[in-house]
Amino acid sequence: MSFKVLIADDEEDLVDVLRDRLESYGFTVLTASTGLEALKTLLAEQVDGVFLDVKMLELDGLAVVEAIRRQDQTMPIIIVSASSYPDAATDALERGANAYIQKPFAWETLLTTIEQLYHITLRRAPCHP
Amino acid sequence: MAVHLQRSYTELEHKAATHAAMATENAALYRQVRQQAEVLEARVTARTQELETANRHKSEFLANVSHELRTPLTAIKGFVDNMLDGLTGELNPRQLRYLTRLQANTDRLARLINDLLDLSRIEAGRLELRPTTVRLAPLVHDVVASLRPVADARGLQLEALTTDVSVWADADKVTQVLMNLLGNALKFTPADGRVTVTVAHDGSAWVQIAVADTGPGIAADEAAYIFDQFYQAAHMDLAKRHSTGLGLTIAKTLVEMHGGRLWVESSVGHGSTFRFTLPVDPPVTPAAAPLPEESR
Repeated sequence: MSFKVLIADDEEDLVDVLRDRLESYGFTVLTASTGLEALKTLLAEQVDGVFLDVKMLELDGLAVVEAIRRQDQTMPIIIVSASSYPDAATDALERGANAYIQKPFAWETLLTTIEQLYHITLRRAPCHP
Repeated sequence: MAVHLQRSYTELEHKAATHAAMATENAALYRQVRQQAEVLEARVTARTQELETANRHKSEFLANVSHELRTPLTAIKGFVDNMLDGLTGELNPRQLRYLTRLQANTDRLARLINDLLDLSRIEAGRLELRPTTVRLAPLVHDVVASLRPVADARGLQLEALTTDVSVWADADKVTQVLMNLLGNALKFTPADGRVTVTVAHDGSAWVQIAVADTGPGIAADEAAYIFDQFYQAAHMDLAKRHSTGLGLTIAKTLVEMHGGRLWVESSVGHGSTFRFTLPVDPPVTPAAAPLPEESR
């Protein structure tokens, strides 16, 4: 398996954390720091899924979800957000995201979500690169 | 006689005049009171609007602050987890120890943020229950199963004695209450001890859930304060301060939102039992929960 995914988050550190982990599982990772950049990347590249932050400049993550879903109803979309609003998860799922992960997240939660969406099994720690 | 009548008549006239003056004065006073009441009413309306605005700002502020706190915390936790999971190669024992502590502390901060948000939502009256008919046995067993590794690691027996009974409650909130109570029991009970969850129903309108431990117990004068915010964090042994100090406050409030009660029965050296009640049926008429029985 070699999935190509896009991570969009305006926090460089969070992109790094997620990219390093996904690359250790053999994923190819593209990155974006705004919603608009994410959409531009999606126009130029064929990807197998996206990890989206919500609060981003230019275009927020939920708007990106809606834009993707107008073209593609099946691509796995995982929202990874630090939002504190009780309805944040419901809102994201209603707009078409497949999963909502609350920051700070436990890897177990994220890995289980990825396994379910991609029908794969990811090894647990230790996972040397 | 005529003189006498004349005098009475004058007196009457005088009284009538006095009454007329009083009536005029009363009418004036009444108008003043009315005006003042209107002024007060307008002020109350304005003040209520101000408070509602302030409360909304407070909620928005809290949401923004917690977002800003969670973002760097996610990065710290993410990098620490990546190292602990071997992404940067093998760790020496001291690196492992430091990173494990870092992980425990970031988790604690994350819990504190969640608890503070819960509490502020509760206080602002914004936390809504989503009650359904909840079967307690599977719920209790799920919570016990999720805490089993903690009990095993601490060398504690953890058991659940449940009957097949349902309550009218918000399942997530009941889970949160149980996690808080069991988490405390597992934390404060020394190795080789026992923690037991019991679900009991005597056929009344209330089901009673008890979390009993064989820990050090709580003195009567202390028991009065343990539900206060941050009491535990401020007063317990430093080594045991892994909690946020808000767990019991939140648990008690959540139970009370269901119409139930939460209380503790304990004495020093004899363990502690935290009990709470939940309604069997949806509320029809306002009903009161049974009073806690006398403390042992």
